[in-house]
Amino acid sequence: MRDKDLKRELQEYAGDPDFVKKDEFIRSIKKNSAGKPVNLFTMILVHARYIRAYIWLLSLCILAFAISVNDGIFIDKIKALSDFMPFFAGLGIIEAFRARVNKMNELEKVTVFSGKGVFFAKATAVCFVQFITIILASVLLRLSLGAGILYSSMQILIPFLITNILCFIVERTSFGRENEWSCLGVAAAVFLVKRITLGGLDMFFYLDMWVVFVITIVLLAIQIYEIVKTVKLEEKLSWN
Amino acid sequence: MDIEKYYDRIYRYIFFKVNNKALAEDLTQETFLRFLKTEAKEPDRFLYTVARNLCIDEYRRIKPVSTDDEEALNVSCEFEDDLVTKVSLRDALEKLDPEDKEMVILRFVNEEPMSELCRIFDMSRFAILRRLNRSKSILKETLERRPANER
Repeated sequence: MRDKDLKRELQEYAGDPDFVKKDEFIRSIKKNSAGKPVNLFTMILVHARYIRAYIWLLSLCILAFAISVNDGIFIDKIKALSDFMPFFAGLGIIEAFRARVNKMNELEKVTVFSGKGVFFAKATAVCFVQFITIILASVLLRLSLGAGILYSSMQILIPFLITNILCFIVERTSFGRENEWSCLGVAAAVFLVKRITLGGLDMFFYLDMWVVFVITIVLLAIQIYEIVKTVKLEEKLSWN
Repeated sequence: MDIEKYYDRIYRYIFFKVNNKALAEDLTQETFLRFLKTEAKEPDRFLYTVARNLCIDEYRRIKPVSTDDEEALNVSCEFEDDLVTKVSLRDALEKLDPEDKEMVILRFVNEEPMSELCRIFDMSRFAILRRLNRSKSILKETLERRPANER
């Protein structure tokens, strides 16, 4: 008996498994693994990894600027940060709509995850990174200048929130969807309006602290509403 | 992991151990379900280990299959010659040491590379080759003793 014959006899002895049973099993496994639910937290973490380097670099620059030694009047430093915030917010929104900038948003919507979920995770990740940067910058301003955390955080947050809200509104219009860099235009407009209306003074010159605090809270609520609204309309707007 | 790639190999490995088509199919599926729960890095080794352990559990659970009982083969044999071949092949395999039998299955039935066998049995290539040659001659000797019309 040759080796080849022995091998053939051994292989024929076992035969093949029942094809129908095998196919059914493989299908059920594939179906179960494809439908594995991914929770929102994991999704946000995944998208946080893909935030582009310039957002992280800008955040680091803001923190470095906040901690840097300043021998002048501290209000100048906070005002400078406050002036930069519209651009920081505008770039963040562009990052959240990156798929649209790269003409990949339609592809993103046909993946196993819903387009809404992906966009929400991306927007939340970017906003969270920026929000943490602002809070940390306020703490660092307290350490370097002795400025009140609430005072400095509100000074920085208000232009940031106004720009973010306006950017989300613009992104829902056809103009915003066709012009990827429209957010930078919104940022420049907020910057100019701020410079023209406030001039060299800060908003506390005109308003009491608690009024500014209420405005910040209202703006935060509007920001959340705008994110939710944009997420809900995102798929509808891109297909129509 | 590509289940399709491993399914037939694991099925044949288990079939040689349990000699029962339906049971081999069930244990094959159970092997994959256990593998998917753990997501081990080396599927080949892990799948064979799980399959072997499942077979051992099955041996403990039920009485061993009698070699005289033709029904126990549970294979659909359309011709008597085919059945006789299968019985003599099984008898020949029974003469081998369990580890040698496993080597024969992995090498000749599943066509696993020698490097994989070395890893699975933690032996040198030479030792495996020597044992395979010995098993091969036992199998050939037993099968050649069959009447000529059965071959």
